[in-house]
Amino acid sequence: MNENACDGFEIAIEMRRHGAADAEASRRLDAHLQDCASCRSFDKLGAETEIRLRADAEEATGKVDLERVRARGRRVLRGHWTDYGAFFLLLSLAFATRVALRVTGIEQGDVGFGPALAILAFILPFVAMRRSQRELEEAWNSDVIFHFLRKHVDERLKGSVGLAVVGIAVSILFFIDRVAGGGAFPAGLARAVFVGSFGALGLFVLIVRVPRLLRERREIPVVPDPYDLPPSTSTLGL
Amino acid sequence: MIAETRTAGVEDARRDATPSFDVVFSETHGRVLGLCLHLTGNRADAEDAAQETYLAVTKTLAKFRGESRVSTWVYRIAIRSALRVKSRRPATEPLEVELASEPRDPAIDRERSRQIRRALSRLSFEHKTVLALFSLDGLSHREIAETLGIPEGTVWSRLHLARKKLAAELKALGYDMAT
Repeated sequence: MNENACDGFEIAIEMRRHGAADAEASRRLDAHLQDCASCRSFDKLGAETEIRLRADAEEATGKVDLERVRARGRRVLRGHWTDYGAFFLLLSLAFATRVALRVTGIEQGDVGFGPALAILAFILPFVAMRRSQRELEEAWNSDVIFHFLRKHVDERLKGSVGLAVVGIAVSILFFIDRVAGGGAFPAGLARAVFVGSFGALGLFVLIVRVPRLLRERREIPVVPDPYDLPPSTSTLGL
Repeated sequence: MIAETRTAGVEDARRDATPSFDVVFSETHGRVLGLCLHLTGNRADAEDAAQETYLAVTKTLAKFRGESRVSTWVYRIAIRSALRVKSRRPATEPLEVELASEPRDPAIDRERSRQIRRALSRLSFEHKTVLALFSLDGLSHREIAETLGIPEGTVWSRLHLARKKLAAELKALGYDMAT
């Protein structure tokens, strides 16, 4: 068929692709396509170019979705920063009590490892949180963000369970110490403060924080590890 | 289906009252960005054009009289913004679309996609616009005709011409039509 004679069919091809051709026009087009290689090629090329242009547009739209996913990640991290702040405050109060009691001579003994432990307890989660924040901002697609969030929540879960166990264990130790050492003021009061603060910390983590982390974990879609893709399918050739 | 629901959301809002900017933005932003990407040829310009679009929407939304659909009104603004952004750039060899990452479907051949983007960037703005609008997910030919301000019948002939030009550009770029 010559090019001009096919123009009508080529328009019909476009119309059918976009759902604007009626049954009769579609039947005539099919009959024509059986005999016309040029129109078959036009049809195929039109479909292909459209699919690829659509993929580009969706890629652009994907950036918007990525920002939404990133915002969700930021919300999760914000919650964890709040937990971290509360934990640090509680720990600081507990150690400050002990340091104050010992410095003022109300309680016997030196300042001990308390301040060093408090600083360590501050620095380690702070470094981990900063690293998580950096990973979130550097993630290049939603799969990477979901993968990172799951990893981050898993780490926080482990840390929280560990913290709960330590909190309750320390509380029990101070309780035993208080029973053994007597409950007279002021040493008894200091021990009571520790029993209460560490016990409260352990229980708070177990009752409030762990269930919240488990809930957050359930809400994060499971995605394949983006760092573990076969070379042929890796988006960045990793 | 999602696209229809989205458009319906904007149009319902139009019938009730002037829609809020948030509604208009959330329901058109994806397509506006996709449209601007095709019209400008690169992400940075597309984002500039989309930003200009919504700046104009912010300024004029209150004056929107409902003579057309809100969505097509926004797409018209986007086309003008993309044209303005394009005209501010010096004429150079057609830019390649800079994607954040290549399409994830392994079946999509990167080289063929690159050639199509390059061929598209060589077309006239008018042809590029009609192809870009037809490649947006869920936009009907009626909406496209309304956006372009032309009769529905003319949309098909313009699309046909644009597709022919694209095929010619692809041929010139050595695109393998038989694959």
